[in-house]
Amino acid sequence: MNNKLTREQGWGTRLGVILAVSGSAVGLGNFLRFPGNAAENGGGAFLIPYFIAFLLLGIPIGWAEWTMGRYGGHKGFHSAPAIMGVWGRGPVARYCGSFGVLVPLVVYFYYVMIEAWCLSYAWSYATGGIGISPDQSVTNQVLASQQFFSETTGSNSNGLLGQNGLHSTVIFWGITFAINIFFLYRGLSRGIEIVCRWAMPAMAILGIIVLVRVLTLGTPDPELPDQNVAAGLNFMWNPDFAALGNFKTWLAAAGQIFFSLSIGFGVIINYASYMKKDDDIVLSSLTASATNEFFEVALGGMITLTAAVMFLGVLATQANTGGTFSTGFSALPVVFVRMPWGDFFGAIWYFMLFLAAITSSLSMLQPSKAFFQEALGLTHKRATILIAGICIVGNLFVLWFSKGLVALDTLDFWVGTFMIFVVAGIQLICFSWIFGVDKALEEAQRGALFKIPRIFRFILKYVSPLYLLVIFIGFCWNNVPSYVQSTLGIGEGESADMSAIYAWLVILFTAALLLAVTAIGTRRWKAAGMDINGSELLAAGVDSSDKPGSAP
Amino acid sequence: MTVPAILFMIISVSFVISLAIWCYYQLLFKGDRNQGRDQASTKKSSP
Repeated sequence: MNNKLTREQGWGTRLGVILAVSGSAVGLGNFLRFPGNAAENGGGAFLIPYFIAFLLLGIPIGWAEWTMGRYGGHKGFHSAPAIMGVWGRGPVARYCGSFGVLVPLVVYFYYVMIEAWCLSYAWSYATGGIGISPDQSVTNQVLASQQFFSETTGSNSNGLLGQNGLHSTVIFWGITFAINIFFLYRGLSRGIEIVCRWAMPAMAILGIIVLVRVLTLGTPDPELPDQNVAAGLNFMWNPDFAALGNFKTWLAAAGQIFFSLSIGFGVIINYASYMKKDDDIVLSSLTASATNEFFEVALGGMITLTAAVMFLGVLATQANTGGTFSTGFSALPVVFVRMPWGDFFGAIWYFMLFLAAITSSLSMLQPSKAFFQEALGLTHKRATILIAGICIVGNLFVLWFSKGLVALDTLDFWVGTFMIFVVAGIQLICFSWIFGVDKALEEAQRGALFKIPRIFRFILKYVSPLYLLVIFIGFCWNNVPSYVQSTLGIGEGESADMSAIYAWLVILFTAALLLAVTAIGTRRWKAAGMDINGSELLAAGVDSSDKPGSAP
Repeated sequence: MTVPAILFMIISVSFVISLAIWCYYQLLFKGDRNQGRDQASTKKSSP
């Protein structure tokens, strides 16, 4: 049997795959979204629902994804549609699995732009700052910062980046895109793994440098004694226990864990598929999650808002932070302009964000590459060229329809947020209910360096799916009506609505393409005699997959 | 800075740092030892 239609090089080391998964998870949300979320939802008290969600959603779904990936890998599959077809035992799960390729691919369309902004900011700080005067008032500095952000992103009108010659953001996008494709082409161990092995420690060192700088600033302005390190930390960490009675707090905490750990993203399932059948996945998954939590809580939770309060004060921080973009690209530049050696630390900070983004963006390309290789039988080189072509079209779409960042925001909401819930839900159903939680956990335990506690059988079967469903309903209730209204143009400007509709068309076209490729792949896999429906599991249990070449 | 804020900060940060250290310790030392033992037993049992 040809159960290696697309033979890939595997990971070089176990640490390499852990750092690659951690790199995929650690992104801008760790440093910018988490602190804003915590401060808005009870401060220190936010960490109670946050860690509960970590325990009930993050850790178990992580184990499920790693298990599904490794198991699919030694069936000869590396893409979400094929692997979920095996776990879901049929075509419905397989076609639903194509969303596990749609998510990383479409998210890449806009994520690489944010990555380019980070590089652009780092370059600007390294070469003399972003043009904010230290003598201005905070309000004017925030306005100047927002102006720089608008110029960088072209958010004032569509097509701005194509006017008046080559815009600097287009150059930074080109550099970022080329770096991504170069390392994708080099493959897993020589590309993604090498980047993550260097970038993750570098990110930790840069983060610690900025953290030490922030925590040793004392009271930067003696005329404003209330704006000091203690006040900054207090703003972030002071617990408001009343917030625990609010459903919104629990929703925000679970959402933060969910998006932060890259669950339901289609990446882990692909990365784990290159592991050997007896490689540990239980400790590896937990280590990747713990790495992400270190960056999020110990660095993200200590730096961003602390610095903002020290230089902007509590009121200005509350007014200018909260969302990822407002915190990262409007408030923090004002902090750096007021901080001693601000340009130097600004360059370090944005370069660190760039590293966080590139380790994530690389992980978004690999699942699509693996999918096109095994479904269409493409060579490594041709699959990379195809991915590059698709991504150029997607990137140029986001680059052109830049007004108000509506296109980017629409893709982010429907694919980068909404669809992730759907993919994680399908994975949980396949893992716990169709495959069977007992057999699935038995598979997870193979080669494990520690035993998964028995309670997780109950959690994976009942608690996690129910928890996910409640969050999904709450999320939809709070957000979907307003997004549908804005897409349909109710009470909005025509231009912005068209950007949203075009973004919708991009999503639908990409989804249709992936479904068509899944259909082609299904025929190829069947013709090759591969076990596409996981039927061997029904007949002989988990161990049947250990026998190579045992498919009919 | 209030006492509850200090407590929440210290407990949360200590928890994530301890978890990360424990995981990497298990992985790099205990994991490698197990792997070495597996390899040794494989060698011993092979003809």
